[in-house]
Amino acid sequence: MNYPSYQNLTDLELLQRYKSDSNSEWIGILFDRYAILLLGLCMKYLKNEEDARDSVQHIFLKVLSDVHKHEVQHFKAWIYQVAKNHCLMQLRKTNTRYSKELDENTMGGALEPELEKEAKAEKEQKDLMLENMQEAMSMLNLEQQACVKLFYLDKRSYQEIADDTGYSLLQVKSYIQNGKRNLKLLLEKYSKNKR
Amino acid sequence: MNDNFRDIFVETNCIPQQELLDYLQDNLGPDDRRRVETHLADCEFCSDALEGLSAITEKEKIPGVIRQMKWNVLQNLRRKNRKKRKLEFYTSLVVITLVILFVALACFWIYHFVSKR
Repeated sequence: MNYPSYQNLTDLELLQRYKSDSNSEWIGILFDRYAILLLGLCMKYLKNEEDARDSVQHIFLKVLSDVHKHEVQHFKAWIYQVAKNHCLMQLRKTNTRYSKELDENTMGGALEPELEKEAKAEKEQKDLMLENMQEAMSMLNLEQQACVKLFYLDKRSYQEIADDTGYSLLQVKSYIQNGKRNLKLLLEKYSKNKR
Repeated sequence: MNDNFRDIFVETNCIPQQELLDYLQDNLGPDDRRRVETHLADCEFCSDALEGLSAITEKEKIPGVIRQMKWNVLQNLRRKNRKKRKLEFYTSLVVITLVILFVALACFWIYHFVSKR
């Protein structure tokens, strides 16, 4: 079953095939795509290899039993949310305090295919946003500024940035992610004000 | 400066399992490493996963662990499917038996009714 042509099937196609013929090999391909991500995610929350392994199997079986009940549009976002919820439930069960809030926003909703016109408009929008880059950068906090500049402008790796700045790898990753998100929000705000 | 920041708007595909493992074990060249890190800045799922995977002590055992988990999941699924098929088989068997019984009773009743006339 593991022929290369089957590997090119999308997640939704694999799910559809499983729904119609119940052949577990389709799920095997899906498992190969997501198992390592789920294992890592469960490890991040549960901090225990055995619990993480059990959780991955549990999450996958839960997703497969739920797949007949829901019309899944974005499998990756869905399984990510299911996995996060499962881990948080596990933590709650073991009375471990965890304050992170659940974000349900990634569920469902089909993306419309982009038309050429829309792509052009999007590009123009990005160009407009980039004009305000300097100003938006100055609005970030110092750590985010430094890491975003080093990563995007100087094309440095996470490790190099960590070595240069003295931050840990996790901090560097977090500053880049948050900096990027804040920068996008600021640029969108500026371009809206300009219109 | 602005052109260098175009990467901020680039959306990349998720990292395949082997590449993620190579990144974890520092086996990637600068270009591949750059590609992985650009994706990590964009994808919460991969970024969270990498954070968790880096906490695993024996990283070289990860592919074996995944193979074992896959085997367990598929076995579990097959078992469930077998159970489901068995249930469907017995349900149809009961239905067929009831239908035959009904037809036999009907035949008997009709025969009895006609012969009495």
